[in-house]
Amino acid sequence: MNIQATNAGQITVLQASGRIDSMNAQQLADTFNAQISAGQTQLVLDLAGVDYMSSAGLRELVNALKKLKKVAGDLRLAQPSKRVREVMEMAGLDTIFLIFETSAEAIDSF
Amino acid sequence: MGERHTLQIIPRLTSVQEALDFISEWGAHYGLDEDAIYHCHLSVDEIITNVVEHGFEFDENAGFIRIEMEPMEGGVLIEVVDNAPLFNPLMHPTPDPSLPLLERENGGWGIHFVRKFMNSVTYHSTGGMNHLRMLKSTAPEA
Repeated sequence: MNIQATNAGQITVLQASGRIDSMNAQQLADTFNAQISAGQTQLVLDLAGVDYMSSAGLRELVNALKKLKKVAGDLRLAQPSKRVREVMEMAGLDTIFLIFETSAEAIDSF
Repeated sequence: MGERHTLQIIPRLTSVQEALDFISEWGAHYGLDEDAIYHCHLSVDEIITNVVEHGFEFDENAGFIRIEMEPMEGGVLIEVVDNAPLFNPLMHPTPDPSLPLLERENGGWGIHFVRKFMNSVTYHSTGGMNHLRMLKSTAPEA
C-alpha cells in the first residue's frame, strides 16, 4: 500500500493505493494518527486505487473515525471500488461513513 | 474428488501472501473465476490473520498453518489446518452491522466475511488440530 497526503486548505486528502490488509493496516493507522497529532482533523481518504481491503483495514478506518469524532473532526471516504464498498456494506460501515463519488465532492462536503 | 495440494506456512502475517499465491495458482487451475479467487483470498487472509493473532499470539515458532486445496464436484475445497490451541471461529457471535460507531468493538468481521463469501464453512478438530473447511463453487454467481 502507498499513501500520499495532500492538503486542501484545512482538509487533508489521503490517496491510498494497493491492498489494505493485516500486513499493512498499521501503516494506515500510523498515517491517521500522524494527521490527528498534527491537528489535521478533517480527512478525506481516497480509495480509488485500493482494490482489496480486509477487516484489518476496516478496523483502522473505524478506529480513526472514533478518534476524529472526539475532536470534532471527520474521516470521509471517496471513490471506493466495488469490492471495497461491498465489504464496507457487509460491516454496515456505509451507514457510518460519508462516502462520495469523488475526492472533490468529499472536500466540498466539509 | 481429485488430488489434494498442500502448502505449509510459518504462522506470521508475512506468510499470507504465500497462501494467496497458492490459492491463485490452484484456484485458476480448478476453474475458479477472478471473483471467486478474490473471495477465497479474502477468506483465507482473514482466517490466517485470526490464527496468527489469536491462536499463536504472533509467536511464529509456536506451530504451523497448512492450506490444502482439492477440486470437488462443482467447486473447490479449501481447508486451513493449524495446531494452535483449539478454537472454533464459527462459534464467534456475528457482529451487528447496525451498531452505531461508538458501540462498535474491534473484531468478528473477518469470519463474517468468510461466511458470506464462501458457499459453505465448517469447523472440526482432530488430533489436536483446528480444521476449517470451506467450499467455493465454480458456478458464476448471480
